[in-house]
Amino acid sequence: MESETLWAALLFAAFALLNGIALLPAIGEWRARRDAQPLKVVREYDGNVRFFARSFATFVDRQFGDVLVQCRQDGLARDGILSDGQAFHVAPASGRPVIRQDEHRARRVQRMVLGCGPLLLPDELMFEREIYSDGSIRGGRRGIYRALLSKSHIALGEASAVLRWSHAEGTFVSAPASVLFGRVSAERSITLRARTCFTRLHAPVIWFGGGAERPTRAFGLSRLAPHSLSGAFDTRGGRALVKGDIEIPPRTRIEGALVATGRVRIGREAWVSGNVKGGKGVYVEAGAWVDGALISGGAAHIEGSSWINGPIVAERHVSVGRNCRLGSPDKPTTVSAEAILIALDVTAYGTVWARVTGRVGDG
Amino acid sequence: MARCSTGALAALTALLCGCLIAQASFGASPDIAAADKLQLRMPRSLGAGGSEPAAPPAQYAESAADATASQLSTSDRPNAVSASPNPDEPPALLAHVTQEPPGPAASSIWVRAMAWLLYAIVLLIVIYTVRHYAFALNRLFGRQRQPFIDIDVADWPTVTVFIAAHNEERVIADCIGALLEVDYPTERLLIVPVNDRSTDRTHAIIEEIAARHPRRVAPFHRESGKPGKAAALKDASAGVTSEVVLVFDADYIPGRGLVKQLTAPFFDPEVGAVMGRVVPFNTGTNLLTRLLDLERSGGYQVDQQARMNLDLVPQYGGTVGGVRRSALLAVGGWRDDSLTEDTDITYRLLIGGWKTVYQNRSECYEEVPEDWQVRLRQIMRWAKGHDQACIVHARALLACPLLSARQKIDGALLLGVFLMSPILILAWLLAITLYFLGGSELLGASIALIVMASYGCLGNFAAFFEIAAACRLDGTYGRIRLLPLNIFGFLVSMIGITRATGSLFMDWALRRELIWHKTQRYRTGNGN
Repeated sequence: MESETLWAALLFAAFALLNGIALLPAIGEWRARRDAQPLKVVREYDGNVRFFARSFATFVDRQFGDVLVQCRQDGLARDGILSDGQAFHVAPASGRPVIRQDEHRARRVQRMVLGCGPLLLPDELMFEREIYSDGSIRGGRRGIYRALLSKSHIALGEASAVLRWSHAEGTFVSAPASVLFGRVSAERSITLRARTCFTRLHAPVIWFGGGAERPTRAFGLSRLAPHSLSGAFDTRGGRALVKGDIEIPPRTRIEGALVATGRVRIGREAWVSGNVKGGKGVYVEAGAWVDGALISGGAAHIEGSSWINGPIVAERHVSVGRNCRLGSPDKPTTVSAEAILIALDVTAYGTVWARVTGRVGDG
Repeated sequence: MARCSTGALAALTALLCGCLIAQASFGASPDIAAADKLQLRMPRSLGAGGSEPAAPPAQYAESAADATASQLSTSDRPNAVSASPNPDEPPALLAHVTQEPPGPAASSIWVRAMAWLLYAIVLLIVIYTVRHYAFALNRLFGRQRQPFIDIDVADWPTVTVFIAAHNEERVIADCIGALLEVDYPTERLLIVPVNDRSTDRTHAIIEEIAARHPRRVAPFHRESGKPGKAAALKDASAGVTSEVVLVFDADYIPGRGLVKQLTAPFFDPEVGAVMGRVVPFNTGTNLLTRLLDLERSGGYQVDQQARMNLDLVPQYGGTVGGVRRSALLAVGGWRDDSLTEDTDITYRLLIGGWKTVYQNRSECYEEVPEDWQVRLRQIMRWAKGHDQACIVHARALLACPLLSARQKIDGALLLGVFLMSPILILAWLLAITLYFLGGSELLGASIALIVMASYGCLGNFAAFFEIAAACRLDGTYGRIRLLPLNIFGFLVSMIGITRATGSLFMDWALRRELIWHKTQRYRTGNGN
């Protein structure tokens, strides 16, 4: 009996010890409170595309305000090092930064470059730090830039690349075959030429190629009531829910929001007044109008000369044909998908955001 | 073998989980443990398998008889049978358990029924466990869905923000102040503090702010009527004309971009509700708040987002979220007889063909309970409301023709999640009862699974894996160390939930009205 009790006690002790060891880190963290802070929620961050540009502008004002004033007065180039060890260069009045021989040889500039007037950047150099100009920035061919901020306009040379972000208080123009990673924003307009790749664009107006002509709405359309759609399951709550596909015949007008658990096809020159959702995909034929959002659980294909006035969101990809208009000057909108392919002569108002990649077509 | 597993592993579980009932049951019989030790050496075919009791072979029986006979006497173990001097006979204790079945055929049927019930519970627990793992793995390695988070420019709909407030003098001003600063067209945003029968200075504070912002803040004061948030929202909704209604609790401090983020999904005409992520801000107060922080991380960062990724059933959580007004009206509006209006509305929308979207990046701070009593009351209210929703919606959910099989299964599992605690306790009782009634032969080796899965359901392996995955995704590695202590939080929850479930059935039997309990606030105001 005694040995039984002993064994039971030993078993219990061994068990308690093993569990105790497992609990030691927990007890240590509980008492030491090394990671007891709440998770960081940045309340001031509102998702604004200009967030980094604004932060950098504040940094430039604080760090280089006086230097830029002097530069405007004497027009001389300056070099210096910030307290954190970061080297910077202020371009002279000519606007051409003074690139050292070693930088030319390495084809990379590790200094931050600033200009108090227009900046002219040389060809085939990689600028590893931010570039700022009180005036405009004109990039050379095959230039690679970490980030660009201009109080005026930005124009990139052919086959250039922006790695993080770019913001222009005026306009932004990319030459053909450029690659724009990160955020590109402008207060007036963005123009992307053929074969430009992009991720996030934001401006009051974005032209892909030459921009679209104003599409015209067809007249004499026949009306279709949402509840008369084949397979309409539920028409409460201001939308028609269809189990399966929706096909809107060409030159038809339909008012109200539409939801299909399958695909939605909007016929040629049809007009939908309301938001449209296709659980498995959306296809918009040429010349169609949608006065609302176009949401797709799969891909969204928009043929040429169509006008989508609300947000376009696709969980896979979006393709937009020639001469389409997305949004309008008084109702800017957002186009968002993993991949976006936009033909030339398309105009978008607001934001175009390709989470993985976007591309401007070349024909 | 199986019986040995039963005893040892169930005892281990009891110890690990601190289950007093199990401890008492197993602690009473050290002799059984001794007998079990002997059985450990028995061939598997004899220990488990058929329903007929099996006698040990002679070579083992001899040593078994020696071991047990030396320890047992009729005086100190009145229920035990004396050891037999005949070495050919099985040991006394085994004779008691295995050679003398507990009763006639009827009792055997009961044992079998209990065993099958236990099997069913095990299956249920395994399903939940697999579900937890699947969610965590999806969050770590799967494709992430946040389809609407990128909408930053649009023709935004009109929005009414309800701030549910009952005696919120400490926090209401911060919440309204933050909402006045959000990035949203001011002419399309109306802030409505819903003052529900407050007896403190809430009324005065709201009026003071409304006087300063008459076009943007329109208070709704409720002096009488049914208590509870759902009832208050129902009354306040009567005068609303906006397309979208967002709901915040008074202790929430929304960030600048939050209203746009929460409104963006409503461009999808299939979306009926949206839910953001709540993040505890009083994390460092004590152990409870830290454990709740972990629990919330797992729940939102992993569970909710995985359900969103997999197109299952993300849940509208009542705050940091909103509903489409037309959808709400289409499914019958707010119900004031619901203790958890969020669960209720999630399921009514789902069955009505409206989806709920979860946006993990739409984060907002909240206060979590700082003492165990308040926490217990909170979890009891949730459990009661959730179970109530389960009773009301389960059938319609499973019959809904619009939902896929996956959505139905996930919806049903989500509905039943608060029933798992009493079911788990039932499983423990069944396992213990079956052990003493000799039903363990029926259970076979699966008893190990029972114990593992039960433990897992309490929150260690599967739910803990979710929490660990959440910490990794959040980049907060230090707090993962607290994970083992979470078992205590889960135990408290289990007790509370079981009590709430019992209380719900009592309410139903006695036709008592369900009572809504407000969760206590701790903040002292001005963001402190």
